[in-house]
Formats: sequence, structure tokens, C-alpha cells
Amino acid sequence: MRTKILANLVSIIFISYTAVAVSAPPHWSYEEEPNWGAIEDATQSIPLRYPYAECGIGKHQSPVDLADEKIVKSRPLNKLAAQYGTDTPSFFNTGHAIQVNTSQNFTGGLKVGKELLPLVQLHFHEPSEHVVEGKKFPAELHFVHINKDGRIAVLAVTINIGKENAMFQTVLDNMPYESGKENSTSGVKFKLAKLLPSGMNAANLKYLTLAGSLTTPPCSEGVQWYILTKSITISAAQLEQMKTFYSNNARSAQDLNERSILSNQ
Amino acid sequence: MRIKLFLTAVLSLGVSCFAESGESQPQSLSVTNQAEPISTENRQPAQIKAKKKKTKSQPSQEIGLDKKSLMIDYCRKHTC
Repeated sequence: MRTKILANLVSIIFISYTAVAVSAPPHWSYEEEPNWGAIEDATQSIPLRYPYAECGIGKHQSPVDLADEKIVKSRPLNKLAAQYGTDTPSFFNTGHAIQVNTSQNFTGGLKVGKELLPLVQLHFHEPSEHVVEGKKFPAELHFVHINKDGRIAVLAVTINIGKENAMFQTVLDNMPYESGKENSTSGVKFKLAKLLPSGMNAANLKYLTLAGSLTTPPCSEGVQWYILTKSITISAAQLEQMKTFYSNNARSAQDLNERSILSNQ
Repeated sequence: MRIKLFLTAVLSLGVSCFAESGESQPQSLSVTNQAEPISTENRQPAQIKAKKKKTKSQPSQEIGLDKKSLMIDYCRKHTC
């Protein structure tokens, strides 16, 4: 009898622990974008029941429309320098985008003024998320940086169709097709700066900046965005190959509300 | 007696596991706020004064480091 009670108790603890340990955030998709804020996590009570509420009620959301008339050019801004160098990254199919994760010992990052923000990952959206007067670019690249306080800064680069980009081809060639899979054994020497616009000085980038959010649930705000004023190119064939992974994985433009878009030009 | 001891050990393990899983699975990811200030509302002024010197910069640094590693982990596993 005692043994039975003991066995039951151990089972209950194990099952409960497993349930807590594996509780994952609720699933979301781009098709249900207008309702991201209302997605429920049935395992939680209010307020955690709506983990993506900020997507619906946030006032500083990303992406936005970068129309000319909204851009303020009068303020002096921090110098922005991409110090990316070379890395041996892993190639990760997140289930929502193709992503390149930098290695643990990677020391490159984005220098904003005097502060270096380490680069954690980069990923791609098709079509672009930021738009100009309602017009989307064929694709967009996001370099994601996290500073010592855990705050995020994203360097966004719009992508046009033109000359093939060899580094982007490396991403496509090493990316697993299966969602949730990561290729960390490629050994590829990845020159990150090759994904920046040619002709733009990496030590003094030309950019627009504004306060925004993650463009995917939970759409957390407090993200500083730096959007380069010049695009990179990939070939039409590369765009088609990218679409075989993910297509239409871009959030629509959000209201600017009280924010300003600043330019360093 | 042995069963009692075993039972106690299993319960302790269970409780510690719950605590641990709660820490590593943040349900709500917020990058808006700076490191959260530690609440001092319920402490007596004397206590605050006594602890002030010792903990002046450490808590915020530790929270910052925790938040940084949480965010890095999150952004490596998700399209953030």
C-alpha cells in the first residue's frame, strides 16, 4: 500500500514537472497577424493568458512606413558602425524565418556611439516589413543585437532584386529545410559585412532610426531600430529560392503614433 | 522510516524542480523596461539604509546579466 502511494506521488510530481517544463508559448502564424494580440495561452491565468497582447495594444510597434514626410533630419545622432568581421555561425530554420545565429565566442557587433552591441543573429523576411509610402521591398534583412542590459537593437537592410549576393547564397545553401532544425556543423567562414550595402562605409552608416518593437509575437517594445538608407541586392533566382523556405513572413506596417523617425543624413 | 526519508527527498526535489522551471520559462517577454527595481516598499527605512551600501550596484548588474542571457537565448531560438 505504502509503495503504491509512493509510486503515485512520484508519478504526479514527474508529470507536473514535465508539464511546466515543456509549456511553450502558443503557436502563431502570419495568416492570423490581425489577431496576434488575442491569441490565448489556455494554460495561464490573466494577465499571462494573452502573452502577445502587446501586438494588439502597443503604441510603439514595428515595422512602420518610412515615408519621406515623417522623417526628421534636424538632430545630431550617434555614429553607427558595423563591426561584424567573420564568424562560423549556425544556420537555423526557426519555423517562421531563415536565421543565422552567431557563434558563442563571436565578438562582432554594432557600434552605436561608443557602445558596442553584440550581434546575436540575423534573419530574413519576404517581402520587406518596413515600407516606403506603402511600397514594400522584395525582402528585408534584420541584424539583431543585444546589449549588456538585455535591450535589443536591430539593424534593418532592405533587399532589392539585382546582382546575386554570394553570402546570401551561403545562407540558402546551408539552411535546413525542416522547421526547428539547426545546422551548426557547416564550418562555413561567414563574412557578415558582405550582407551590408556595397559603397556604404561600414564605419559610418547612413540610417533612419526610431523606437519600435519586435515584429513577431510577443511584439515587445523597447527595440531600437536602425534602418539603412541603401539596399543590398540578391538575384531573382535567390529570392525564389528563399521563398521555398518562407514566403509572406512579414508583418504589416504599424501606426507611427507619437514617434519620430530620425535621419543622420 | 526509510519511506518517510525517501518521500521527503522526492518532495524537496519536486519543489526545487518547479522553482527552476519557473525561472527558465519566462511566459511574458518584455524588453521595454529597464532592469526591474527591487521593491523596497515593505522594508523598514533602517533596513534599507543598512543594505544600501552593500547592494548599491550589484542587483541591477545581476538583473541586467540575467536579462541579457535570457534575451540572447530567446533570440537564438526565435525570430525576434
